Amino acid sequence: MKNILKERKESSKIEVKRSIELISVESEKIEECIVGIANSSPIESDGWIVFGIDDSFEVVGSVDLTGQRVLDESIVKARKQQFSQIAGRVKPPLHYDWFDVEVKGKKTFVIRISSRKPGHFFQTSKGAVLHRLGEYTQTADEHQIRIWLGEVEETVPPIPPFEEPKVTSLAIYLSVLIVGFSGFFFWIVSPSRFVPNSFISLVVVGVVLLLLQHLRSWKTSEIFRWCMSHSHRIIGGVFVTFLASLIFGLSLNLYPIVSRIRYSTHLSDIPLSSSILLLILLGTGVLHLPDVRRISLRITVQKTVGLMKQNRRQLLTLIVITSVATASIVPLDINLLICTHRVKFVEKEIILDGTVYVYQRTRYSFSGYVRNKERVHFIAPLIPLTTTGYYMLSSNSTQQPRITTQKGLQVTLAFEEVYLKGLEICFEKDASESLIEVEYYSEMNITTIATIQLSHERHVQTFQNGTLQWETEITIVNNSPYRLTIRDDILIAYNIVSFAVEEKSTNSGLYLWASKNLYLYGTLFEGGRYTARIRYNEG
Amino acid sequence: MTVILLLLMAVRYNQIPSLLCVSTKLFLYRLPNYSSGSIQTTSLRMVTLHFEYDNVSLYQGYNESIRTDAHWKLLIIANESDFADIVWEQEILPGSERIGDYAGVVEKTFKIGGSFTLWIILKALYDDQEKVVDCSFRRIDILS
Repeated sequence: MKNILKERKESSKIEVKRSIELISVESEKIEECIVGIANSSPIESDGWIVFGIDDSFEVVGSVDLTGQRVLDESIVKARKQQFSQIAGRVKPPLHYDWFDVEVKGKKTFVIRISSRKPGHFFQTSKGAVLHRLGEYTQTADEHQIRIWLGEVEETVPPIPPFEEPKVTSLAIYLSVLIVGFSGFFFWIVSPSRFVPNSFISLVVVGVVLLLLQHLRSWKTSEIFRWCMSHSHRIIGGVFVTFLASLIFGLSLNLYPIVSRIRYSTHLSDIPLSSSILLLILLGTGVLHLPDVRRISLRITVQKTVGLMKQNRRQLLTLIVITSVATASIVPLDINLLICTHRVKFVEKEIILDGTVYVYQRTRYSFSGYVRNKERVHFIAPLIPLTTTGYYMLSSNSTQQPRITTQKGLQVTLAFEEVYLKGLEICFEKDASESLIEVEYYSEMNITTIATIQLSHERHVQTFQNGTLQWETEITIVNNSPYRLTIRDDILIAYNIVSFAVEEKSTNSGLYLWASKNLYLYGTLFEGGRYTARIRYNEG
Repeated sequence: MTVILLLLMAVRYNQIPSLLCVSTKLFLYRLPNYSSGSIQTTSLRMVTLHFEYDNVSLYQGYNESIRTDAHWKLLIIANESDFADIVWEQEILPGSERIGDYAGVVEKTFKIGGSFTLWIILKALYDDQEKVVDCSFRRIDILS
């Protein structure tokens, strides 16, 4: 500052302005001025712009354009903000430091502007490339720009001869990377689903060929340098994918709350995914091995912590975005069928064939059940990431359910004690549609639809030879629109030698038959009635 | 990028079948003044395009010279749903007018969702009468 006031003249790296208000009034000129200074200041040094000194190099302080009124703090603050915006829209954004300096009791504003780097230059937001010739700001001509661009050749250190350990490290790293990535990729996506698709195969082969063609123009040292500088990104990418797979698995586990199906995914297979991550980490370690003598642990830790601190916002944002996006993928995916199987529709046939089955629970009490059928249709996703599922289907019957059809999947019945509680499903990888058909039973209170009464036997007489004669009565009334079919024959009497029956029936297909015992079998049709008074001799 | 993603999502969503196709396999027969038959099977599947299809034809004629105008009608009804009921009916008129056994499949797609009861009713039409000869029903849940 003292030098500026002493020399009393502007230069290619120094500009003075009377009032800070010019930032607002002549923002474009200020932008051109700072671009000119930044481009013209010697490399690795600074340029200066000072507000509060007039053209005759008299210190006027923090005054308005007329020089009459001292500006208050709020205006100064606003101009600071405006200057920051101007510096921000310069391409690339300009780095500067703002100092409030008091000279002769008056407040001036000194801005230090960092100069350009070798091989680079600044442009205004409108694209003008400017530089300073003495105190004047002018457009840089092509020749000047060429000179700036040429500087880069001189400043880049010559590439040292490529060492053998580096070639070995690179080879190991690339092998690990290829194995790790292809393992990771095929862990997510089944290759058998894509290899037969000629279009996708062609695209993949084309991309690989283009990549190889591009890499041919690279030197080994360049590949090494690229791998070194991008290895942390690869680890980050794998880590984020690993995190995403865990959240996807968690999200699938929460899905049964809103649906009747529970999925599981192989992506939450932590040991496998961790080993892939570990493999890539080890490969990265090997890549950095040739430089290990130059790296101390303390510096590495410091650098890592510094890098994390510097990028903590981006890191946090990345984790939040990954978490939210992956957690919301399941409900979205259920609609889009990208990774998750979906129940498309369910068919239920209740009381198959319109038949209620009756069976004798004890000698004089009866129960009934009906046969139901449920068909569940699934649609396969584009890239199936769900391998197994659980479909909730419950039954209150001890009758054994059975799977009558299974297409595109493998099903196992799941029981709780003796009752059916669900279906464990294992989806086949290549099936585009899957179907399960299950036949199961429901117990019902038979008294709600029918009256079934078997009376206790009554002793009628005893013959001279000691034979006993008994009488019993059975009544079945069907009050329902269904058929009543006797599942196992109903036992009426034990150990008989002969019997006589007096039957009354309507709409009935029920019959008595005897071997050693007396039984009733057959079907009572809708609205049917059957009454039989049976007299029998016991053997 | 967001626009491309949204477009891809829209394309993907359109690829997912949303129409219910009811496919009914029939076995029918008719005499000079009588017709009857039964629903052999009813199968459902999801499809992407609307269509209607009927290939009922003569399976075995009884007598080549005797003709009849007795025929059948198939009704597909979706009711007990949260939405408006669907009633679709189609008279089955095979190319041949001979008496005999007929068989074939009738397929029809519906834009429908949610829970409903699906009825398949087969009617015989003869002597200006309509008689239900077979019927089946099932409860359907289409998850959207």
